[in-house]
Amino acid sequence: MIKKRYLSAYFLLLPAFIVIGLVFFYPVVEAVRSSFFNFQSEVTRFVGIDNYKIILNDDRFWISIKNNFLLMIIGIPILVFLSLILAVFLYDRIKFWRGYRFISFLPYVIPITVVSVAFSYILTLKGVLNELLTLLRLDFLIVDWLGNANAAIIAILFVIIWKELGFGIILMIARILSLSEDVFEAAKIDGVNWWQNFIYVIIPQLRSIIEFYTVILVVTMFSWVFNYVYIMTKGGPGVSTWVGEFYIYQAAFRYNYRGIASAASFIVLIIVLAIILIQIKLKKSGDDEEELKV
Amino acid sequence: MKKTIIWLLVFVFIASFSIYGVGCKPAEVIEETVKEAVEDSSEATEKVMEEEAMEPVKITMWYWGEQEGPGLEGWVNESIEMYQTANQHISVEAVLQTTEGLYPAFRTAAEAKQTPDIQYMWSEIWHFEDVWQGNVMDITEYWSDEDLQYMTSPDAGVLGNERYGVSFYFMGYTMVYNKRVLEESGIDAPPVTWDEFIEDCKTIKDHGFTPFSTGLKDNMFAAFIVDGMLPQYLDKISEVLLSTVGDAKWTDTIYSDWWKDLEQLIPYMNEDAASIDILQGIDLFGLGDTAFTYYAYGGIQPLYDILGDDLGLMSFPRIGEGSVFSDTFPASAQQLVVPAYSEHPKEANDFLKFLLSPERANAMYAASGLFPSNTEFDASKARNPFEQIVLDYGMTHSMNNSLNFMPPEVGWGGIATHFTSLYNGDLTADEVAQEVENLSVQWKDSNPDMLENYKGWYDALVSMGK
Repeated sequence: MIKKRYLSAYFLLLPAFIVIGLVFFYPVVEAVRSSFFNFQSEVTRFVGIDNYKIILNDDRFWISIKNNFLLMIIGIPILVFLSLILAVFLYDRIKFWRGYRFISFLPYVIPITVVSVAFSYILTLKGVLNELLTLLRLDFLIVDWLGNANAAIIAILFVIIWKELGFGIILMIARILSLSEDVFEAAKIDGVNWWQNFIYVIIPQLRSIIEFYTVILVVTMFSWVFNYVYIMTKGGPGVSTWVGEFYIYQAAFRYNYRGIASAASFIVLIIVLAIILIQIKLKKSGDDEEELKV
Repeated sequence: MKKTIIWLLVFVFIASFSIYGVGCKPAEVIEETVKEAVEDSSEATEKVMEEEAMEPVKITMWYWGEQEGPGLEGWVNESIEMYQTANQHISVEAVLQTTEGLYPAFRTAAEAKQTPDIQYMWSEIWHFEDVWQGNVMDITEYWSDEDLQYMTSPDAGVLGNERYGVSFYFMGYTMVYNKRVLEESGIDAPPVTWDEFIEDCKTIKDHGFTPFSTGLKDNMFAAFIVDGMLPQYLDKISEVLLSTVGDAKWTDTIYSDWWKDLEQLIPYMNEDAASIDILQGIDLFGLGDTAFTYYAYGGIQPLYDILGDDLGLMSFPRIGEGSVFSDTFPASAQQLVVPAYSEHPKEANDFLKFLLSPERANAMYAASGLFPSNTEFDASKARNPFEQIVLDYGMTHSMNNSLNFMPPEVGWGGIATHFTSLYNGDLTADEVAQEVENLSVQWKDSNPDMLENYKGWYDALVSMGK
């Protein structure tokens, strides 16, 4: 029962709820509804879970999800670790730290499209990177970064890390700057070295922001990598760099399979929600354990 | 300020009377002049009154093609201006679409039943699927035999006895070569058969040149090369459809042998082909150290500008014994259609007839290099000898682009996508053929309604002797 005194508050919030509902919830509801229909013929037909069966039997879908997991499992630890390390270096106020901070954030503000176009030239077989490796007599490292099925997804991961790192650094350094100096003073008095300070003082203090950043990255690796793939490799070579979004794009816009695209979108949503829920659960059990220890 | 304006008005008032006074004639002369003026202007007035009696009509056209023939947009705008001048009550708005947005934008509009009045579509399956989904209008009643008399490939937009599109321009897919590179490699004439072609590639490579350059990253090369190779194993273009509607499989010899032929070319392609797009690969040919490339865009003039007399045009090397493609090269005719939800079909078709008239067709070629689907076009006006050959061919032959006779998912998702796997050695030719077959089976299972449409199309092609 809504208390009378809250009625006016809810009434004032109503327009925002309507907008959020239309912009966020209605598309999800419509996508789920569409996932049970076939739109290929002149007359739309209800097909039940047929679209889901088609997707689950499609090798390309599993390749796509596998690539998303690859990006997540390899990319997230690298991004978190590098963000932390570089943030601590910047916090230590090394020479020209302001310049480094600016440079580290610069890739993040460049549009993904621009970054992808640039790297699609840099990473060709005769591109700048391989030319540089030749100059440094590191020919044995030369690979067709975008044309080799095994290297292409790694190349995309590298570009994603290069682009997204800046945000993580700024996030971490903002949190470090908000910590009390007393903690660091106390640690110094206890005689900790740089590494011990990093592991036993900084990381525990940054736990909440690390968790937040990890959740953001999970969403990123499942929902914000389409541009990289589309511009740099078009999903190739073959289907080796397809990701969930690319699969949905192909189904929806190239082949006009609205029902299948909707079903795939819903499956990807469920996967991302499941990962985030697992994370929350792990965090909760971690907090409970700590409470017990105390 | 107020005074100035008042004086200005007085001046204008007096000036108009003065002019009137100077032009004044005696009463009898005035009467005669007025009578003449009334008679002269009656015709013009009648037309103006006719126009004024017509409701103003706005038609919209969504089109593509500037990407294939730079200059097309300018030609479209010029045509619109001409048409609007001659038809005062009609205004035309043309919107150039992006490659990736061409179909999604149209299909979204069709869902909302708010389509343009004219839509550009690629040929055959690329517009028939929209016909079957009810998005495209039957325009048979608007096009008489007289209207179609100068159109090449008039049956390209026909399904059964109904017309769903008109041919706009055609594309020739041509194998070109660098005469100087062949000469320096000791080769007198371009190869005729595929075996000769591969042998020549080996010789050219031994002389330090790149035998064949292209780009595979955007999957366009495989999408185009299938049109030069697969039909060579077939006797009729409808046979392409048998792997979709009949019992034939993509792993059957006539549908898969061309993969083995194509595999022979791989060692002679530029080593960076997998990481560059087709246009970048064609640019490599333009640098002058490559022997062959496969060119599939509107006009060959850009290459001719770079290589001049070093440029040569050859027939696609002969592989199979099929008779579909026993001539020079494959071609396909892009279409202009009237969507089913157009509110002004008559005006849209009238505008199409103007756009596709001989005069406009000649102007289109001059502006963009795109080959008009028009028998009145004088091929001797071609910009270079190679385009003359392509024009001569396109005006007298049926379109036979095999990629347009299969489900897009099988063609683009299967054939075009998996060539890079063959190139990299990730899959063998037989494995690629199997992947295409798997995709075809999956497509058939998920699209039973569309499959029936394909069967009807196959029957229609067979009845036309295709």
